[in-house]
Amino acid sequence: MNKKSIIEGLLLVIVLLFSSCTDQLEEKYYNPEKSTQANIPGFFTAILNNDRVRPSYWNVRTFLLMQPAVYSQTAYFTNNSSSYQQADGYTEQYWNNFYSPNSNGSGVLGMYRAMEVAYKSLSDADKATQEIFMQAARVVLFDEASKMVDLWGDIPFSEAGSLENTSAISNAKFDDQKELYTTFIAGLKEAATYFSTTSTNATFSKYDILLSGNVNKWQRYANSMRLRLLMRISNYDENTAKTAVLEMLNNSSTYPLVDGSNNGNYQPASTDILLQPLKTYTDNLNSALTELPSHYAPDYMLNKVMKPANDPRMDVIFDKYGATVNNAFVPNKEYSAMPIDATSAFAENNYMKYAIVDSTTLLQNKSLPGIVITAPEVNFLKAEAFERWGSTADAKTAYETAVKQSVSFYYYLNALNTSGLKVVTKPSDNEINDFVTSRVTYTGTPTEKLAKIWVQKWVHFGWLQSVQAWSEYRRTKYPQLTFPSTGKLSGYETPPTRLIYPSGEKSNNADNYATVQSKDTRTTKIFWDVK
Amino acid sequence: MDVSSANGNISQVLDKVLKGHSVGYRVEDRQVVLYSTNKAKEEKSVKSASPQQAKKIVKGHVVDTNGESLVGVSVLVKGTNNGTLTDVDGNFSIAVSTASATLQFSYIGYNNEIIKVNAGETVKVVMKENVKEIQEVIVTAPVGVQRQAKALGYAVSTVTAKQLTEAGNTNFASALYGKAAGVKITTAPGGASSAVNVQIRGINSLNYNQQPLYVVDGIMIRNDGQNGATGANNNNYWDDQRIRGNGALDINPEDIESLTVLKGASATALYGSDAASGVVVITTKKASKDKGLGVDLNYNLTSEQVAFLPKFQNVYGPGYDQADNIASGATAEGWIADSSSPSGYRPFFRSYGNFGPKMEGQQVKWWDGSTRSYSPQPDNYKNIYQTGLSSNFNLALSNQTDKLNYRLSYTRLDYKGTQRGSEQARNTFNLNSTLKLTNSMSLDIIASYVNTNTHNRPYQLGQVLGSYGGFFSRAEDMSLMLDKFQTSDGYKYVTYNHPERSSEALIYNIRATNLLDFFWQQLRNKYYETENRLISSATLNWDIINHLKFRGRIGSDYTGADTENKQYNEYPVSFNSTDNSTGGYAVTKGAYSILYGDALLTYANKLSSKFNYSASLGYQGRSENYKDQSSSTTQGLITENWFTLNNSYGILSTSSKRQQLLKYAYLGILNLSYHDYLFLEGTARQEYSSTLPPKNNHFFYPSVNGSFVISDAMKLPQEISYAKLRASYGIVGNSAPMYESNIAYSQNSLQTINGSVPSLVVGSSYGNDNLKAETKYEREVGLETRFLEDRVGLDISFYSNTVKNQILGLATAASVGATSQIVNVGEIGSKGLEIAFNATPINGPIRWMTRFNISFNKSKLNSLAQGFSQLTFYDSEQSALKIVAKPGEELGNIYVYPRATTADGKFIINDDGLYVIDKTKYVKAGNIMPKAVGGFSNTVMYKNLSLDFTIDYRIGGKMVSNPTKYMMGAGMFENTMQYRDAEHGGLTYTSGSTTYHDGVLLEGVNQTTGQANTKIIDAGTYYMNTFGWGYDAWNEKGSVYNNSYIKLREVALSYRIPAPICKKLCMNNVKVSLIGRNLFYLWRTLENIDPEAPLGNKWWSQGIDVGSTASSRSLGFSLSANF
Repeated sequence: MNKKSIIEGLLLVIVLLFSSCTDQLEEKYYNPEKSTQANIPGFFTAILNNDRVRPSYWNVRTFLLMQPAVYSQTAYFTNNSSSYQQADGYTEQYWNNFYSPNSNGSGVLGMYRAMEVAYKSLSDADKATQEIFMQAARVVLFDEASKMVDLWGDIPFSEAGSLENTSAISNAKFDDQKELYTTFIAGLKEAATYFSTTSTNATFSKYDILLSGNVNKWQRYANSMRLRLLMRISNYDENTAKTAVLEMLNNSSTYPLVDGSNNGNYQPASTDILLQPLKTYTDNLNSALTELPSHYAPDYMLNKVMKPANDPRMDVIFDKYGATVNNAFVPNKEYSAMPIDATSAFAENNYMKYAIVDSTTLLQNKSLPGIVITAPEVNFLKAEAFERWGSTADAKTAYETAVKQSVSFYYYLNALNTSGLKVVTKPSDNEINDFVTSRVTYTGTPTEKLAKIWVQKWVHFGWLQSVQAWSEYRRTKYPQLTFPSTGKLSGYETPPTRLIYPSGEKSNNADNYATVQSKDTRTTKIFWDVK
Repeated sequence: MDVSSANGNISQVLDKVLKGHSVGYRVEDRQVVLYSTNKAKEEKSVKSASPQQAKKIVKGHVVDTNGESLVGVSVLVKGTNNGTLTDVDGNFSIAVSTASATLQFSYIGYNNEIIKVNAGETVKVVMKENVKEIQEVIVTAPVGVQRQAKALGYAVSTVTAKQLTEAGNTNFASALYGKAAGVKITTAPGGASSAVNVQIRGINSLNYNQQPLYVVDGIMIRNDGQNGATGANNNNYWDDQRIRGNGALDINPEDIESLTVLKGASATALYGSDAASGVVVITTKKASKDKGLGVDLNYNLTSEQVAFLPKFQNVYGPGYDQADNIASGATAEGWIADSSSPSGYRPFFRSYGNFGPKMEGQQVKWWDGSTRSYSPQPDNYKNIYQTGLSSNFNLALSNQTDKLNYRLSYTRLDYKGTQRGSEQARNTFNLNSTLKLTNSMSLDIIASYVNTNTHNRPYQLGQVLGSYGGFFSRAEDMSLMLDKFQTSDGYKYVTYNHPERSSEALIYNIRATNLLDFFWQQLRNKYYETENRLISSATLNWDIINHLKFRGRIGSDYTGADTENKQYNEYPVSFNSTDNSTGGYAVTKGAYSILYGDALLTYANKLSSKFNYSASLGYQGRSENYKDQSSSTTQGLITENWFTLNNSYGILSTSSKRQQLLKYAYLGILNLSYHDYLFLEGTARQEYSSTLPPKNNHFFYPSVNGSFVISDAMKLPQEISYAKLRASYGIVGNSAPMYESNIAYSQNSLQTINGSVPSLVVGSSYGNDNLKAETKYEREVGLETRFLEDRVGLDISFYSNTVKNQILGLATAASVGATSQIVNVGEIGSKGLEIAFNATPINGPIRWMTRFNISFNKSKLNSLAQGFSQLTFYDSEQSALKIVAKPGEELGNIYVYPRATTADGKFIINDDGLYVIDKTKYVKAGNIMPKAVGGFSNTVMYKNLSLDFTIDYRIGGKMVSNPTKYMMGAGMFENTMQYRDAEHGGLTYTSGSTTYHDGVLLEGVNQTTGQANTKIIDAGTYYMNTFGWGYDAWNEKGSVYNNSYIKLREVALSYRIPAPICKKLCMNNVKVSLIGRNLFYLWRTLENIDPEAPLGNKWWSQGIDVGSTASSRSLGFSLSANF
């Protein structure tokens, strides 16, 4: 290689570097794996695609089974010194997932703000076609936000999401929990009204992975959520609740609900608000339940409620279990749960004598949907409203419908299992009728009747909906559970009445946190918890 | 005189520069020694040499005072330009034209010898070493420009090849401990495969990669750019738990000729935005200019053993406090009734606490079904690890001809870590060559190929040893754990509640399953990493015309990385649940490349006889490309232990990631010198970076520095042999990591009830369209002096800097809609003092040379951008312990919830007899940054023996270690013996009908009554509650510790085999050494944790331990020789 060619070569390289650089600078600024185009339907789908709603491993294992299911005794928990201590990191993740998305939760609030910003920039014509997304997203936002209030109390809401809003950090105040409930209740009414007059469109039907664009179901969802929230505040502000609830119940055509047509033998798949798993989902909850372990039957639910009533749901919620003796599995003769105060040593030696959670329905069922709101819950809410403010006969009808629907619901979950595990045939309507009318009979004083509604609703929720179970337990104080308190860490002898705010929020939103710090104890009650 | 124009062949340049001056020079390796040739002028005329036939021969042999042959000594017939060099045996022969002549012998580091000889004579010359001259070196300054040391207006630290290799370090960075002032080294535990962190002058950036820029032979190499903003090791309980390496590990210390650390902004300004945290400039070895064919051989072998382990108690076995024991179904003491156990009881295997019964050799039934004695196992923690071994072989071949000189080396490193299952092998080939194209043009070609194979890279053990799930009791025998982590048929251990899966199922529930999982990972599963890296460069040096020079360079750094992860089935597939299996297989591939180019045109001339100047214009550009792809099975493997993607139970998971970056800059340099004692340099750089938003993607910054050599300018007292003042001011801009400031959305295609639907997700770290470059402003002054004929030297630097528009991935409250955002958060500032001192206290038959350095640094948060009130760097234990900074505060302050007190200062005790923690306020519990760091290196020589040892130290500052608190709460340490019995201060009390001696009565007043606390609690209750997880613990005592130490870092005791013996072996310079690293602490304040345990490359992560693997001590030998 001669001198000239080397120099020429070198100069050529340098010239190339010079000339190509300026164009490439901007081109290389953006991550090629990401999109810079905001898109309202895409954001909406992202909001719905929420693994905090679906029974996903992470939410069940780290949040439900470690906190609300323990505090509501809807799942078994090991008796140790920190049984009632919340797992701070895990609860923080739940909190964060409400505001900011990751693979566990869809960041409903942040995503909703992004939708709002994109919506604002649209022309009026485009706004009209996209409004349906905004309305539907708002229902989901209020649904998720109400759970946040039930868990923590005051939360940042109205000012939250400044990054999506303005691309700048502006810390949000903690909104008053009562005012938030008022906002949600009003907003849900507005959304229900919107859906009662709107027709769906093809884009919405495609991107709505919850209800496939069915506006009637969106209306029922909004109304039923509103009913849930109104009943939640009914001990704190009975008048507001009573007026609004009776208005809904007395005008069922204006306020259709997720009630399964009040048919005990209803089809949850077509009427309940259920978030179906993705088609690519192939996991199940086996690990989530067995790791802690949480798959042993909870004492009160099985021993005190279901077994005495010979509840037909036992066959699909629990498994009698048994011991392996000489390589042969010997099943237990009857359903029985370990006593709540069993020591860990006792549990380790005797677990095989007690029932566990059912494999077909729950442990190994990859088809389990995310439960948003179901007809049995709605009918239990109706029963309570009728019992308190209307006729006890209506209450009885609603209660019986609700229990029957709950049976239908769990047999529906059981039947979803297509893996080859044994599916149990649902008992005949007569048998179920017999169970409802003679074994969990709606009789007694109004207090006793309400207790029955609440206890049955608690059974219906189970650990799958333990956020609701814990809220209703705190509101109603039913079922009357006892929690063992010996050998616990100092200050953690009982379950909390709310969750402590997460560290990240405390540190990084310190000024606003200061205004709620005095309420940030594990024994502060949520405003509706007044009994 | 200006010599800043040279690169490549120094001799050529020096010949030219020194032409006509009464200055001679010698070159050895990369060092140049200048000396005066007093009589040169008079004897110039002798150039017209005598006829050949008139010459006669003088032969000789040159040795040092030890009798060692000296190779390459220059031999000159005085008064002529007739010279030669000694050969590899120290012999020379030279023709002289007269019957007698005067020969001058010169050699670097030695006094010149002048001898009169007669023609035909054979002489023996003994040369004496001279300390004085070693220092006049030329260092490699910015962008490969070489300058005289005395012309530099800023501090640099240079470390020699010998210092880097003498103790057998497997990478250069860990050899830097204590050797350069202002440079703080932290090696991630885990040995040769683990990343090394280098922190220069304190905190230069609050977030992102804190590592200096590594420049090898002028090429900016990849350190861990592929990891983007997160860096290699995360110091985090949740993310990747393998202890990763970084690119710096690939530079073979045996191939390094010299290493220079550039610290201040003025020194680094020309390197651009990546240099804000300093620059490490590495020059690899070339063929020695004045040698012929040479072969160098080095070998070292060291064994590694874990060291500096916690002090454990060995009296009490598993169990909790009395109430908890009873609530758990055990006796108050902590036994579980068991009729199948010989004693009628078995230990409480599930307990993470160690407050159970005394271990007194009782025969009990163990969790594996055997009967064992319940006895302490003092070494069980140590036995988690194994003895590591490191073997490093290096062979170098070099040659030189008129046209070409080259050095080719091969290095083989075999490493077995102290973590079981962890191994690494590395092959390094290095070629460094210079091709002389014409008289005015030369080409340097450098290529380095590194092939690294790593198997089961070590884990940080936070999830194992720092978590309750991995706490094993003091009674646990590690050989049993190692035996039981897998079943005899190769499946994972089976817990007590799955007896159907194996007849070998554990019979009781045990605690430390995380440890068994860890053994399963490291000893059964296989995680292979293969990395092939090629770093190459070509540099053209061209003297275009007189005074005008051009240098162009192009280089690339390419890495192909492959990993393969084989996870074995954990139990037979017949026990699979309906929707998944166990085991797994994953492959990932990475291709990382950097293309680098620069060009520099320099004009140098003199304005007058006093004024010299040079001006350069240049361009520098770099394009980086990172591609990663990974595919894995999901839900386990269908067919047992068949490792292929075709064996996935679920749908394959696959992902691919592309990252690109472009940075380029135009630069200018102006150098002025006056009388060779006053120097001034100015630089300017206009930089462009693709990582910043287009509107802010270019920025400009200048720097200036000057030096004044007082000892040359004026007559100083004779004791002062050299004195130089220097001052500099510089600005360095710094851009953001790739893509961090994008506001962009991730799209996923969801397979739903409505078919495939795209969802668009906002990221949890939010971008920023207004992000600007951060800029560091640094002022520095320094004084460099030498006394007593250079036997004592002192170098002092003082600097202060501010970094404005600090870029930070700020952790935000999730309620703003994301959990972090990249922002220009404010301004930080550092001040520091660096002192380096060297001396030769003894200089006789015994020679002792010593080097000492100390540096002080303090960094503050000066101000925050509007809207921010404080920065939170670390938050733990439900916010009970955090590291935050408010404007005006020092960085690194630790804040904790204090124990609650009454108005008059008495501790408040709750009804359970425990401290109440005050969660309404924070108190400062110290600062994680050290007050001072430094080192003390020594060389002692006597005849053929030499001893080198380096001590390094850290004074002041604290360490935060929550795992230590948890272990204390679990009663593992010796310090938890307090209160457990009467002998250790336990109070006597009666509960029921039993009398106990483990009472604790905390001093303070009862929360409800306000009266003095009278509630006596048992020691277990005290420890478990006071040092448990969360904000109810006394975190200040449990988690915050003073962290100061003085460590004997390296020792090398060498013996140089006398020349005659070597000769018989046909070798030269044979040296054998005993070497040791990390030998012991002369003093340390930490009792139960090693000061170097922390991982991570954020500025604060070195002060926070989240549970890591044990540190180790190495001992071995090394051998070096040449032929």
